[in-house]
Amino acid sequence: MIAFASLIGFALVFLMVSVALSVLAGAMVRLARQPMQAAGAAVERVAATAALVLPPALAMSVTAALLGHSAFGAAWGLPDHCSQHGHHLHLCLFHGGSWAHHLWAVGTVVAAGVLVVLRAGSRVRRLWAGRRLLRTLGHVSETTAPDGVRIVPAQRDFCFSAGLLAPRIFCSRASWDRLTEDERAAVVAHERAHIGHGDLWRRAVLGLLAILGAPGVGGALLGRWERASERLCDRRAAESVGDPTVVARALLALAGRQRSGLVVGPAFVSDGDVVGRVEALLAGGSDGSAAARALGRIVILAAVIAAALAMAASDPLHHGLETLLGGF
Amino acid sequence: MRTIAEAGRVLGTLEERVMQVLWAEAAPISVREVGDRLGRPRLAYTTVMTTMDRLYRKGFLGRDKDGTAFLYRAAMSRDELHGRIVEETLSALLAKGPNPILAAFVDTAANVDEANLARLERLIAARRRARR
Repeated sequence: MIAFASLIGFALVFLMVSVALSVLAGAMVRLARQPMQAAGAAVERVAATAALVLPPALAMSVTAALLGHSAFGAAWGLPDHCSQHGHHLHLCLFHGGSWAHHLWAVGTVVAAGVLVVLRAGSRVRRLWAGRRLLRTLGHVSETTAPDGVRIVPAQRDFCFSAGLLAPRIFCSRASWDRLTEDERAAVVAHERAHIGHGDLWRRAVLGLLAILGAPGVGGALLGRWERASERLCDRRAAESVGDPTVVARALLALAGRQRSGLVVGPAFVSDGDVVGRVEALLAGGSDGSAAARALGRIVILAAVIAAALAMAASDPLHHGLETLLGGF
Repeated sequence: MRTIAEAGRVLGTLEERVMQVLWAEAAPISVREVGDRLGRPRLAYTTVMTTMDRLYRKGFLGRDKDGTAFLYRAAMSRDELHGRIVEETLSALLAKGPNPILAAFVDTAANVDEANLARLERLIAARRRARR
């Protein structure tokens, strides 16, 4: 008979592993910041993605291994040790009911659950509201041929791509009329790169995963991912128009207007990076695509190995975590 | 261009039709006259009155007392209303920090100082000269 209170213990394991790994991943990305920047935006983007995805994924693997160990341990021929250690809490689906009597455990799981639900709810609500607002913007805007850019009749200056499933590019009439022909092409190529990379839906998913990590770490990693994504799209735009100075000019054109209070609209990255982006464009060099692909393969391989190890070592892992949590 | 009602629930269907009636009128008219022009005999007088009162409270209609009744007029043109829809939509979309549903070319918070702008413009110009 399953004791549902035992799930508190498994939830604590997930929480503990996810938070600890996110702290570790955040620290590693922070330490490797300079070499990663030197390797290129694509490398930085893959590293930030891995640092956001792996902690909850590995925590899920560990939790699943422990649940499997508990549920099918007897079938796997593992000895039932529960009767041998009455001295601490059990990570066991059948004998773990005593978790409900430990206020700190219940409190931690409930508080973390409420926090995650509230933060995820807030993000989903904003996405939902944004979807409705974009529909409105789509209706009052006009499409310019052949770019497919939707021109919004507004005096504010902005250009952005928006939408999760069917993203579109929006630009205000003011910005569109002010930019030169080649600057427009650069802006459109940049936004098309965001759409081509799937940045908008990826960002939404990563934003939700960031909630499962240590407070502050997820946000910082997401910021790093956004910064790298912007730079990567700058590079794609430069390749598309055949001249990085055109992209740089477009950036300065809009940043300059912003300074004079004309440009309105949030972006993936904060202020200073306009300077960094222009400098990176002019410096040229590799965007690190090849290294990023290699890093991606290594990360996936490492994750698979770690998940397999968690499964294979579920018995010692079970005892170790049980002893650690039971010690509180 | 699509209709205002389609353009984002700023106005309901009946509200939009009332606005269309008033945009077509040169002089202010009463609730009953609006009801007549709507061409829907089964529409109750009170429904039209409530709708127009709501439009007045939203700032889309103006009104003046004429004896015991009010005479209504459009407080803004169709283009002005569209402008307002765009402004309200953009404000909601852009004002509360980065909305996770969009990615802009340049950050709103970007504040590149004059010296940096000038330096980068010089760099770009030098690079362009070198490319020629």
